[in-house]
Amino acid sequence: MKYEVVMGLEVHVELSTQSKLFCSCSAKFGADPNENVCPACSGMPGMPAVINKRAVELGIAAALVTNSEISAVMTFDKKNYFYPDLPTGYQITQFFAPICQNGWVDIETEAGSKRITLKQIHIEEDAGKLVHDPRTRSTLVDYNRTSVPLVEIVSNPDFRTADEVTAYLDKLRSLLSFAGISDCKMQEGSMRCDVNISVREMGSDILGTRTEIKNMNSIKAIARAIEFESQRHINALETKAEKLVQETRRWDDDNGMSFSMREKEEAADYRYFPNPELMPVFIDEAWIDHVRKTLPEPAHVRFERMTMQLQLPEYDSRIITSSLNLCRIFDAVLGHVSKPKEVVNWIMGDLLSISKTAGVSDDEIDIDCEKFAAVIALVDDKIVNRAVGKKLLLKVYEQGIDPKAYVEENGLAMVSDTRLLEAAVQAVIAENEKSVQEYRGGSQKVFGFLVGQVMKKTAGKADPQSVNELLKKMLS
Amino acid sequence: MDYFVTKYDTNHSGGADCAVLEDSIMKKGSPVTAGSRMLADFISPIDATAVTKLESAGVTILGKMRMDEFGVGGLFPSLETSSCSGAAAAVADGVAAFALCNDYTGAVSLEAAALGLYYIQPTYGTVSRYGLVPAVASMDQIGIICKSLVEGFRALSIISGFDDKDGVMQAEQRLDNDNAQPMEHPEHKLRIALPKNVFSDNFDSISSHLLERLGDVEIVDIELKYSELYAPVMQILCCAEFSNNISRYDGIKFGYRTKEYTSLQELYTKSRTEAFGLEVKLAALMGALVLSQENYTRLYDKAMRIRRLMRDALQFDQCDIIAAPFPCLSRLCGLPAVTMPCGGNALTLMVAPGREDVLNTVLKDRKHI
Repeated sequence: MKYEVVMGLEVHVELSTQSKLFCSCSAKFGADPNENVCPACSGMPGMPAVINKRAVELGIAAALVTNSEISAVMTFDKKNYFYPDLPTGYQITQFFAPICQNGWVDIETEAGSKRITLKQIHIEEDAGKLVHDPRTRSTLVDYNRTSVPLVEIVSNPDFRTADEVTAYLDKLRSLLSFAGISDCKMQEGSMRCDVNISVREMGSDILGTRTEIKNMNSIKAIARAIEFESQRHINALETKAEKLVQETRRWDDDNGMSFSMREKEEAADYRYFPNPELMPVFIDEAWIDHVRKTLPEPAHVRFERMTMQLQLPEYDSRIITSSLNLCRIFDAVLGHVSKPKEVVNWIMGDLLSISKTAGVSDDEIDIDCEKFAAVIALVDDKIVNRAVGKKLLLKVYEQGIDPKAYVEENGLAMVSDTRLLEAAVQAVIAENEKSVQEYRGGSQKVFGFLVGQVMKKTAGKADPQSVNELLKKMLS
Repeated sequence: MDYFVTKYDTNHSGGADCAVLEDSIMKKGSPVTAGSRMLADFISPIDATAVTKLESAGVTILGKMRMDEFGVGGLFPSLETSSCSGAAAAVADGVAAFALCNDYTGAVSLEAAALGLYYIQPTYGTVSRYGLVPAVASMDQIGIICKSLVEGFRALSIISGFDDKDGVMQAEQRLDNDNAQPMEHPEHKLRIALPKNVFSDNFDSISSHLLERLGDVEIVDIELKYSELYAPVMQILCCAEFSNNISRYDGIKFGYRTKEYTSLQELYTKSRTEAFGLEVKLAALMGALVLSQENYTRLYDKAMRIRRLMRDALQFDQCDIIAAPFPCLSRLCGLPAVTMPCGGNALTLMVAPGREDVLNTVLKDRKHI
């Protein structure tokens, strides 16, 4: 018997706002526990909620990049439950009138392309974080994350394979981070994904018993969880040893298993009701247009422009368009050095290797693009050689040096004086009799060694091409 | 009787230019209990906007007054809880010229009228609620208890006005009633509606009192639709919002925490059981009930719809003022109102939103009707 896995995703994404959804506390990740907390977001009385307009605009942006229908009027509602990470005892979310509905995202997998449809996206506030302290055997609460704005992107049950889920998450991450809506970092919790999964016999149109898996903190973990959970469902259907129940399960990536979280299921009635503390938000065409204008050129449009108009390789274009920051660097450098292929080579070959060594992500690379362009120009104009250029770029990245001045101060300009070069070549020939004989005997391998020796003699400042030519001439 | 919960150390002898606060309004560094054991040790981290405005206008705040727990007792008149408003008693005794208070149920207004005082209920959303302990968000509104309406409306013009710290403020509206001009009615006399269906046996006496005191007015007869539903709708909506608003008091972060507990659930249950009084528990239970999946459509949603119908049924095209023997309609519809004594009864005069000036010009300088 063949089975079909049916999945729907709930993806929570923290919005890249400066402040929280209903107060002016910083929404940044990584502060000391309870540093970003005020009377309002710690639930004290007397603090009316006031909507962060920027969060609504990022919500509109999320609607636009997912082709969703934006509501003319959206409201906020209250969801009631007691938990220590929720200081007010209710979460402000959108239940009755979310910001948008009926969007879609196209994905590519090895099986081809597919359109994933979205039920809705709603804006809500995040909860705090419980930290279990094994030393005192107590539980502590960190309210930094409380009330940080989120969007929850709810898909329809359109997924059939883990590949599709992975492709969708990659696509969402690209769409959202590219538009500056969220930094989408799973390891920091700014992107989280719950998977609703059920299994049915192939050809059946009745959905099987559904379980929801939570607590996966990487896309790989999600793929593993889907693999495990679907197999668990299939085993249950085949052997009838285990009865499937509709429940929420926690994924334990270390043990590669999902576990029931039944305790939390008990309080199933959230008593949703419209939040009387917040006015409905009216979203008109003018506002949507305003947000649309602030959005960067979509990644796929830019990709097309890079490959078609600029004639750049697809591979390179894909890397650049994977990060808005790389796109910005590319544009800025290209403004000074109008050789697209050259600029892409420098970014891919040099800048990215520097940033990888430094452990900096593509989105966080911070470099003075004018100086970056100056390095390329120095190499291009044959003032320094490529190897020196590479070192200059590192200095620009690390210390922000002015490449031109640095070259002058440190005498890094290429040795272009032919007499000096000839002297160096002659000296190398004289000092390496054995290698010279080998070369004359037909060995090409030693030629490279001899070039290296000349470069060494000139402190790396010679133009390798001139050295090549000169050496060949003088050895023949 | 001692109506002060907290008395500030002022050299002021009281009376004119002095105010007192119901203990649900925050003054920085000072306790705010809202009459609940839950907040017995809670110190306000901020000044309420209304307090800031009063103080910068030179008004001395003498202290915080005793109140019924979260002001919720008014929802359960059958429980016959005793008189509760320290703020009203203090103004009646001449301790302060006026008091600020959140009378979302209307109970304090009636109590004030029984003491011969006025209660001014401003248009919903015109006085900032920043620094007001919330009870029923869709009706929470700081109002004024006063002996003289001149003082009362002066206080109102000080405390009202837009505040970006409150999410439901009416944009930029300030009720500048201190200088309200007498109204001109070229086409008709001032029309006061006395809906017969809500004044049962005392219609004639109220009507003659009004005519006698207000002089040349026209008494109009309109029908207040849905009046039999005011009480249940009020109770459903208030309990729902109230149960939600007090869920922040869980013993975790601030407020009362029970001494002994072995689990999280027990910490919640015991803290709330020990710290909340009967009416609060009743309202919380009723609120949870009407918001439950089972009852939401049948009770809460229906009550919301009826509230909308009530608002739509107000006939301010046929009258300038609607008089009623109870204040709750003004709370349900967000109307400005003055509740006052009238021939041994309490009478509430309501006007269209934002038209406090009508009440002011009609009633100002008239001591008692």
